[in-house]
Amino acid sequence: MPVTLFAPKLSYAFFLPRTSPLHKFHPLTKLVAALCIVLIGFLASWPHLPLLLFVFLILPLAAWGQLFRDVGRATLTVILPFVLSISLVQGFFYPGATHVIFSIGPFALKEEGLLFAYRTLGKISVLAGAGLLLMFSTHPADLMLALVQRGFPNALAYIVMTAIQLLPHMQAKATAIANAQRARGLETDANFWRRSRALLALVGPLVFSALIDVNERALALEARAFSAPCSKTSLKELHDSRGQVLARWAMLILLMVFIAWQIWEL
Amino acid sequence: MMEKIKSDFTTITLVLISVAIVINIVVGNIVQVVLKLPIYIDSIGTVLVAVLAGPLPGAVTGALSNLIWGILFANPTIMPFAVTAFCIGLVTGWLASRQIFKNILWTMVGGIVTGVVAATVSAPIAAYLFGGVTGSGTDALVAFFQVTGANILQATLGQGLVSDPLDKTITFIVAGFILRGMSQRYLSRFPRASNVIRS
Repeated sequence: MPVTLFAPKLSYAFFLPRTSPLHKFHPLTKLVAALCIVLIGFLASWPHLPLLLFVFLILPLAAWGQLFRDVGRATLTVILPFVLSISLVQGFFYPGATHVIFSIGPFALKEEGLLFAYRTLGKISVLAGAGLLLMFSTHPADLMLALVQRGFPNALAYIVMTAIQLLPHMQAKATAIANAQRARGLETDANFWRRSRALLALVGPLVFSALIDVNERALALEARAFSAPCSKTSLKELHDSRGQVLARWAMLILLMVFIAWQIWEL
Repeated sequence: MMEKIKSDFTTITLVLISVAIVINIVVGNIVQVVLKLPIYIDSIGTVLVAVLAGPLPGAVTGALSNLIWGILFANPTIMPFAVTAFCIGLVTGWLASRQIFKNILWTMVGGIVTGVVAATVSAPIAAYLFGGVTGSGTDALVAFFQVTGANILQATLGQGLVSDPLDKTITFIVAGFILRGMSQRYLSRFPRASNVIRS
């Protein structure tokens, strides 16, 4: 099969609107929860905790947010390459492992390596699951607004939201440039060196045209008082509640207690 | 200090950062699909911002690129490497202020230096968070280093030192050509234009 050059299909899957209670939570509550889950999963000394967190906390939360299938599938997509890689690399070549389970020729599968792979995969699923749950249930604009309201610079929200909206346009431009270059005889299905040279013929025009846009965008923003030194009013409103404020503090305290306990156990 | 930081974050810098993030992602994605090699070329935008606007804007570009990449492609495992991208921006900005982008030889040296820094910062992240693997072809290198007696941290560092300097050198050369292709009038709108304009 020939390697087709410029057709990487981008599948964006960041926010999935549902009518669940999880979607209605304040973004900061979900952010704090996700951070706490990930940190607890990574700092736990007990090897089974990450997997238990994933199965008995993240998946039920996903089901509650009507995102069970989406989070499940996306987590699998993320961790599958890791499963293969880490089982092979660490199962066979874990430094200092001695308990051989079975061997194929000069290579031996060892118990310590598999245990290490199991622990690491648990941690990666917690990171992927909690992150995806946050991303699927929270619109990035809401999360940015919540951060700006807590003192982050307005510019941060501008940069993140513009980049997210700009990506599909730039991707379309890349495809257009690729087609134009192909029409001029650029070889896109060829050996490695030809493909590397073809890459320059795409990247050059793409980056130049993007950079030329920068000037005009900046002028347009300035004309609309983007850098005016006053507080800005937001069109959106976020709903927070006493309960959620308390819940956020409770989660942070729980995290601190957990870290202290893990250090005590050392 | 605050005033100096603020003078780097002008409106045109903010616009450049958002465009540079998209350049990082689109070019990085194309290279990944096309070349299938242990090079990524996913920091051209970061380098451009670091040269034209300074270390901190460059660092912000790098870190946000990784976070947004993670959001858009539903892959949170990319996000911890925002730390690496942040450092790449800082180092590139500092090197650019030493005028390395005015000479192709120094540009290459700068690429190697940045690559070594990137490998050093990435290694502990890959080793402690992901058990040394990334789920891609470079994992074979990690396995190779472990067979030769390295521990996981040393093996990931070894893998990084093989691929990162090459990757960053190519990135620096491409970024250097792009900067040379822009007109002086355009470049002079950015806060650190003196890093590239020859007087």
